Amino acid sequence: MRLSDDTYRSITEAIEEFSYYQINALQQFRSDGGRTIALFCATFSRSICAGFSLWPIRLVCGATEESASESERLIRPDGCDYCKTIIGNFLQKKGLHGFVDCILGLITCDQMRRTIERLSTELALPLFPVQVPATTTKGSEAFFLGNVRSISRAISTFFQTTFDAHAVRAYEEATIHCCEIIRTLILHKTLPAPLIHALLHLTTWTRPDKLLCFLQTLVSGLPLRQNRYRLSVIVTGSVLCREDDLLLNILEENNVCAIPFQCTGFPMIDGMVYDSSVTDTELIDYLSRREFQRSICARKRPNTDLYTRLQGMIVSCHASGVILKTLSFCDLWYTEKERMRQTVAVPLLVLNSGYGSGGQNRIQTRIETFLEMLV
Amino acid sequence: MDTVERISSRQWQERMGSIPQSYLDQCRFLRSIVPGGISYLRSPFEFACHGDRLLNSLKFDGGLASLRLWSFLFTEKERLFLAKERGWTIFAAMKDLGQVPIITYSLPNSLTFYADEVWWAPCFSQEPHLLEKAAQLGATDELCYVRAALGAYKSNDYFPPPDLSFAGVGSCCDDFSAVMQLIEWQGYAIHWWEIPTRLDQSNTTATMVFKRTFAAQSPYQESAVRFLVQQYRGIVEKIETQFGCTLTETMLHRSIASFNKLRSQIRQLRDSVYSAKRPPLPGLEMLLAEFIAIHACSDPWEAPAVLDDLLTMVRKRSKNNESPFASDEEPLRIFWVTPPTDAAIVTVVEDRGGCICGSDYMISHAFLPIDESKPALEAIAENYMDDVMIGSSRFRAARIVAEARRYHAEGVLITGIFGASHCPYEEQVITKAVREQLQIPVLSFDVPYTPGQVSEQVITRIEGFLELLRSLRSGRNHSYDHMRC
Repeated sequence: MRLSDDTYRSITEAIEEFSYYQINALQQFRSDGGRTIALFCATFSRSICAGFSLWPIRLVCGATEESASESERLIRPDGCDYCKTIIGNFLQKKGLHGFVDCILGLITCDQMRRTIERLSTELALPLFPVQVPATTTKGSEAFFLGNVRSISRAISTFFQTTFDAHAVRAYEEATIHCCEIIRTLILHKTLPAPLIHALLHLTTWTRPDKLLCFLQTLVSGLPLRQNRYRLSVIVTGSVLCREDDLLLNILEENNVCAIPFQCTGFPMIDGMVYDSSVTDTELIDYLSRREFQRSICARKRPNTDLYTRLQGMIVSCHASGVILKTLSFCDLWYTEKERMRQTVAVPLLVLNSGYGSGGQNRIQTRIETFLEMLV
Repeated sequence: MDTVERISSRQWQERMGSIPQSYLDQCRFLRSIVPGGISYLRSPFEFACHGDRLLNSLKFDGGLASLRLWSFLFTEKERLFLAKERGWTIFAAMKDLGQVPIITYSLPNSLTFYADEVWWAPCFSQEPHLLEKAAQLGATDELCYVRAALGAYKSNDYFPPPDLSFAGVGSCCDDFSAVMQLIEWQGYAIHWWEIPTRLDQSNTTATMVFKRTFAAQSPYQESAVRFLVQQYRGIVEKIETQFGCTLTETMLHRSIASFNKLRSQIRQLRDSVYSAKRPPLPGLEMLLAEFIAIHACSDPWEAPAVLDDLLTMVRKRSKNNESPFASDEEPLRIFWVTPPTDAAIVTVVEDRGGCICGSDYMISHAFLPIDESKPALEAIAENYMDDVMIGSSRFRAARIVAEARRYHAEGVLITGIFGASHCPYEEQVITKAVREQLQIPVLSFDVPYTPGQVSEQVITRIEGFLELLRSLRSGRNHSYDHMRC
């Protein structure tokens, strides 16, 4: 049994309403002298930002053809659309990008490194650079922890704020509860993927204490159901921005449960362990280590952990197939296509596209053909 | 037979018979493996028969030292296979272009090559089998030509299976990072190491300690070098564990000294050639010579002799005011940014009145001296902070502007690579910096893969660019701003 159209609509409206109130709260926060900090990668605990009285916003939205085109004033068209829309949205001060007071420049892939550089030259915003190593050794982890400590000092000095461990703990605990609720919704297949996608996006920028209240209210009226779908498919690959939900909608229309498995999906909220006995002085290291170890980005070297966890997810969700959804010119994911095809134990569909509005029918046909094969 | 002119492959072929035996005897590689070494000064047809067919359409400097240089480079794979057959250890270095071989050559009886260098093999061979092999494994044409390295690992056409590959990741292009991951997937032993980013100094990095490099005075954050030393120590330990040896500080310093000699030769060569009004050596020979700096072209014993020979010839030509470029008109001075995938483009530029008066082939750190007074790994790490590719595009643009100014470039040519992760972001930064600070034109285009011929579009754009430079030189001040050359 699937969610009724009315329930679907009412949840959609509730999410929109919550977003609206959070935007207002964000504006009020800034009016009161508060500052926001933008980040693009999940490998930095937003709780740490909260410890410096900053409102962290992970910008995984604004995925439009228009904002990608806008960036072409500064870079060539053959770049990753996610990076391009970051630049385009900042240039236009659109959406959440328009609420940003400073940027935590997490240096990850080459294109993101260069995007961050362009932002630092084009915007009059403070930009705090942090390299996230691609390698996963203890030495690299220690380097990352050192970078986080260093940039934390820089933020503290720049804004003349002191680190508030209590605020970190409160933010962290609320975040973990939110993640746990959404995690359960995903594993129990309680909500359609487009709604899960919307909820996941809320975790990237809203206040976790408010989000927790919202989620608790939301789920209190929902029965935990399973196996409402004819089959399940894992959607992995490049970052999935809020607006980039065509694939999820098509799968939902075809009565297929889509399980998001990328840095904006299940892995983002899975494994959020928090040991409350960690001392205040160890807090930054503790959270940074956890995030560093949790990351499943394809750029990790080696990235075998991605495959191990993907295989585990296929088994635990009884997935019949995997869709590798990559962004054009995202080399790190797209180049995995053949390896993934040969490694995962279920059929794989590779969808490589940008944020352009064209080709929807072609994508729909490809997905439906793939689903027919799975059935 | 030792002429000062640009010659065709046929002319090279014709003069093979008249090269003195005494000179041929000098040109022998891997003397440490085979008593007396292996003769390598060959005819271009022989190389073409082995697959490098592009040689038939290039023009070469007619000096013997130049023909020796070409032959030395095009026999690299022979050295690697021979060494492997004789039980030597073969290392593949990847990505850092200049640093890891300094460490690996400390190990006796070993050779190191760069797998990245296979990137221009599809153009030299004028056939795509390496690219096709790579595509079968997922490295398709949205990646830069460096994907050919994956095909080369699988085919064994260019190098034997390495005993160990060192893959530098982190602050590197996405393309090759992705390719290296596929290489490991195919079962090759990879030792991953991290390349730190060189940050720019700003008010948000004020709490970090910045220092300057020994050679180029590039600012870098101290933590990056500290970390890099650990990464290099990991490489040393990996070699020691896997090959049951100890790489002492003395061995590492000896290797640094030997690379410093090579680097010094390249610097002298660049200065002599690029500062001359009529360069004593054409662009392709300079391109080849510069790349010797990164790994001694898999023969660190012969490489200095090749460069010495080249330097002697260049000095003699400079003294006699001789140049392979025609004397009726001083060639138009082009500063070249990013190595061209298709070497024939250099010939196109030179045939039409241009010359190369400077370069940024993304390996400029490999020409700079390494501080021999420092602990070895620290000195190598600090030198790496001069790499233009591990920091901001602004940094690279500033270097290009400084070098183009130093060598009085009249125009800058950027040969990009479609799909390379750095090109879309840095092209405009470099172009803007050159136009604003030097007020000279910039031509930028991606080099297409057109085996057997240079793209007509590329030729037309180069011709238009040279015409513009010519008119600017002659005082007919056409505005180039309207032309995004």
